[in-house]
Amino acid sequence: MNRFFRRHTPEGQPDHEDAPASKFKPAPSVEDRADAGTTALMTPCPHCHTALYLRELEDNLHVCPKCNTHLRLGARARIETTLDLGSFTEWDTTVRSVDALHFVVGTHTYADKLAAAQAKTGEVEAIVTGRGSIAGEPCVLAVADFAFMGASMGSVYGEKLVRAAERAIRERLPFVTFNTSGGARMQEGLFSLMQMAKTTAAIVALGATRLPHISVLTDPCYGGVTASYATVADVILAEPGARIGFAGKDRIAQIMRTKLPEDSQTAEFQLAHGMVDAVIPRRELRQTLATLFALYRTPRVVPPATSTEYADAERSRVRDDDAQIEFPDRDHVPDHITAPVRR
Amino acid sequence: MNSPTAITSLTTSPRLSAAEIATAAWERVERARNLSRPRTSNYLATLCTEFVPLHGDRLFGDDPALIGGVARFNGRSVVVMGHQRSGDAKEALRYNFGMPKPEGYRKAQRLLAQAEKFGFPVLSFIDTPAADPTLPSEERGQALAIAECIAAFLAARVPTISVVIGQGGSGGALAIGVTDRVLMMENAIYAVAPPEAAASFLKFPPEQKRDVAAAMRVAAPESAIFGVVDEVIPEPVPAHEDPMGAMHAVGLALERHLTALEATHGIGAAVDATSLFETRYAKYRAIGLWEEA
Repeated sequence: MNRFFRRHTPEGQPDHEDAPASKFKPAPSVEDRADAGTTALMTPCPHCHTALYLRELEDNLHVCPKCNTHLRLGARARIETTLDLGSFTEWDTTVRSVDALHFVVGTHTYADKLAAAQAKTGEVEAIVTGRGSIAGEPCVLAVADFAFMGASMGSVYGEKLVRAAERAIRERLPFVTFNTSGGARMQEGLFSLMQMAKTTAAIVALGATRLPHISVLTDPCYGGVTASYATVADVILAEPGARIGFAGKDRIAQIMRTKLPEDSQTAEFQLAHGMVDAVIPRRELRQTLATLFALYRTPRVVPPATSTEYADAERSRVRDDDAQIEFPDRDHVPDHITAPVRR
Repeated sequence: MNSPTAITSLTTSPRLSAAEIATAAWERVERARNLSRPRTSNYLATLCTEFVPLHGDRLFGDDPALIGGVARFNGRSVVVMGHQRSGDAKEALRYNFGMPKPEGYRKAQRLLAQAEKFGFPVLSFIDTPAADPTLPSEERGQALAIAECIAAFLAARVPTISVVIGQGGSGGALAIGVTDRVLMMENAIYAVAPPEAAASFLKFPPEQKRDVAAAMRVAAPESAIFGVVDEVIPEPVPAHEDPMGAMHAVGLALERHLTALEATHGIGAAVDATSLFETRYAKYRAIGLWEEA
């Protein structure tokens, strides 16, 4: 089974709980089905129940062509569908979580939970970091994986994110984060709460060096992640239908003793309430990010006397650069995105 | 930190049964929640002179669950703020059980900006179970208000000190707690989420909140091990039995830490914001525990 498809196991529910159970189930895949010894080529959309060819769903970036439901993507699938083919270099792959508190409640132990998540996803932790490029624009990125303990933020999540941000500062690159999380990792106690401070500190340091942080909120994004680095961003984008908030729907319902409207806490709700800059369909994300990277390039520091000449020179330079960057057509998905991934 | 030495002491405590540990942990939680413990308004009245409360976030409203203003602390002007919980059951609704709304966190940011403008140090008092988890707060950006507050405290160009005086619960507490020094009362708790909420997140039945509280190590002596708390202020007599004694001890500790910060980073307009930020960054950068092959 190749790495790209591995996390698309159709096990349903999030195992972290700040986030409500979502209508969006992980996308199934051809390979998993083949492994299971079945010959199924089709699957119903978890939202509109239209029968879809699995291959068609993959070609459509795991967005239902009928109802536009954006199915959840694992970290690897997100990287493959967003970055230029083969441009990703992963960092800090050997940083592992430890059960510092010896967290045991009844039969629940953190050590078991970690081992189960690692076995289920094949990942070491809930976040993947590294460097890559989008339409030729280099960037540093951090991608959370909800299948790994609900992408809850613990010490390793914080450490890897901070290292990536610090490296973005050293290499003078924009920083893009793909965020999905149930919140803080309860099993790491105060360590996990303090990752909110630690990760935000790195973003503050990044901002002080005039590098942009672009945050993409994907389904679902809750708790300590939404309430820290993920919303301390120069641009906050969200995927259509993604659920975004501080408190989970169940907790709000419990406190308010009332059922929440179906559309509350969606990306569109957050856009209407002024909390995100734009809701961007998955197909347009590459284009949007590449444009933002180009726009947020820091101008060179030039004293006033020479600024007119400089501006003229800069304008022509930018035009030349633009001509060399091939942006994907909005209505056409480049082949390298839809092609099966070779490894 | 990434050094397991401090953490190993957690496991070398005397052998108690799981039930005994859970009971002891829950005693700490109940003590921290005792309604007779002094609350932020008591600390401000006792430790500060000429306290002028400032209200409102200038955007939406005023949050009674997060109070603050300018005051004089041992002769110098300071900006003070803190979570204000109810003193009895009748007040619970007025103070929303001590759970601030977005307007509370935006008021905190406004006060912090004033402190920076005038070069006043900031003292904050932490006493909240969690940030308000209701739909109206979501609509006004609870997550963003907390995130911006954390970022503002991290970037503050003045010395900052927080004291956990009762419950330090979740991002709602952390929003005004990312400070140069973090102090904690012996009978206070500091936790990533209130034990009841954590139990529900982890799908335990409600009665297991005691075990969850113990497993999360919420009590002050254990919180110190996380590398967050700089000093645990002893309560020889619990604060609800000797409020004046407890508040006096907090006042002495605050003065000691503030003097040290002023000596290192300067006072007023002479504050060295760069050294302040670098020290603060290093403090929070180091928190966490992991292993690396």
